[in-house]
Amino acid sequence: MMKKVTFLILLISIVSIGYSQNLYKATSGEISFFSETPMENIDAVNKNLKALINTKNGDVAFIVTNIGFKFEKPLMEEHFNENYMESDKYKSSMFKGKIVGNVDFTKDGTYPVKAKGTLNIHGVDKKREIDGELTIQEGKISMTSEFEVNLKDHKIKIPKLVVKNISETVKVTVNLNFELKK
Amino acid sequence: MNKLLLLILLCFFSVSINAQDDLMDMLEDEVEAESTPEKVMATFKGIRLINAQTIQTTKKRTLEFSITHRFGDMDIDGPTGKHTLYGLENASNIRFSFDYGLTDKLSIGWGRSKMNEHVDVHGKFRFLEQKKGGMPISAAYYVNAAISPVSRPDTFELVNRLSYVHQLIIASKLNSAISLEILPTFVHRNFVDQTILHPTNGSVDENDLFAVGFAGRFKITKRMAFVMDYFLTFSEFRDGDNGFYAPLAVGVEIETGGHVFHINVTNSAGIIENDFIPSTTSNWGDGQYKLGFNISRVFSF
Repeated sequence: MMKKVTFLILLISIVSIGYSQNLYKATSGEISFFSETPMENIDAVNKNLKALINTKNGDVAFIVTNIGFKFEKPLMEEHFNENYMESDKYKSSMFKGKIVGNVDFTKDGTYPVKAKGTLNIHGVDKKREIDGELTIQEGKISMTSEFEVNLKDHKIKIPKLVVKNISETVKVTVNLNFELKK
Repeated sequence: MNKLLLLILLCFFSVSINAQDDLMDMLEDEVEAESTPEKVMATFKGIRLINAQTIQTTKKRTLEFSITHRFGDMDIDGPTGKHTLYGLENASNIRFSFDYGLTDKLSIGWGRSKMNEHVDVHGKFRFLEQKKGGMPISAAYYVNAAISPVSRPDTFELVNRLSYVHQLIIASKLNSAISLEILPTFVHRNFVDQTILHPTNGSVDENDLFAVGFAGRFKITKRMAFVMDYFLTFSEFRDGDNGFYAPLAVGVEIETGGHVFHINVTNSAGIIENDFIPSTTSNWGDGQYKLGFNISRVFSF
């Protein structure tokens, strides 16, 4: 009997270790966005994007703290946080979803994928399907994605006075490197 | 024994379920753990409220150009008002100034006012930051030196034309709508005319003046705020009997991208501390309040 218990515990432990081996965590990378108008280009970078991929079921999650976006001009940064994102109230922007597409996480290669899920910016959820690319190499995953965010979708208002300075759709670029979560 | 087994099994299951199912929860926990008290931003919008300096400095490598204008007395009920379009046809004071941010906390500047033809150089250093869930106030030190090149007899020495201001600015953004400030201020003027006596208490003008300022910004909408400031000068020589009044200003602040625009009404003709603290001789009660505006434009390099 005792042997059986020990065996079972061992088995379960192995299984659960196996489980946690499915989780990959972003260790480096950045998210940036770009707004282009004839008047003015605005771009900002945030190097503190946190992300997880579960290679077993394809679950993904991304979260970024809004005040971490760095702009070229300090006034832009102030306006971004104070007037548009309202970073006081809505601290983070996030995406939660599932990777769809055929990815063999055990095999090196580059896979075009889609992530299907919910994008939350400025406290407003929007169902999205976002294109991206996964590259698997020597047990590491790198990810790139480019997508557009429509400010209206997330109830971010642009006052008439600066409507010429800020684009209605903003291009977002994500580059991340994942490693097995310890 | 079987029960024990089941329990262990259940434990493992629940652990793995927790760990697997909510990636977002895991990330949010991590963000929470890493978060440090955040700096409070945008306590005030411009570097100057109406008369009062604000806690804000011009940001690093940006140049801020400001035009400050004070029209004549509005005198709505009196004769002057009617014949000068409520002061709009007079200019009590006009000031042009440039401010440049050496760092995000230290800025220097130059300005020229019509009143006393004061040319001033000034600096502001922000040495304390308000943090959310931490330090409740932010603080800055402001200093200036001004020279008054007005026409005087040749015997009037250069040193007598100088005056200085030291000011501590203590500010707190109470919430996203209300920011308050208190400004202990010291003004030193190298020369004052001490031959004039106060009509009732017989005191004379002082070289050193202490004053304390109070200022506030109250947001009405995202881009518009009600602003006011008030300075109380501690001086025996300065009271209503001798024709001196405390400068009180109220206004509306409008922010439009790179501009901050103020429309205000104040009884002080002086715009810099060297003028409005010692020399406010206009009284709200006598219709001597003036319409004014501050406008500033920021250039980034």
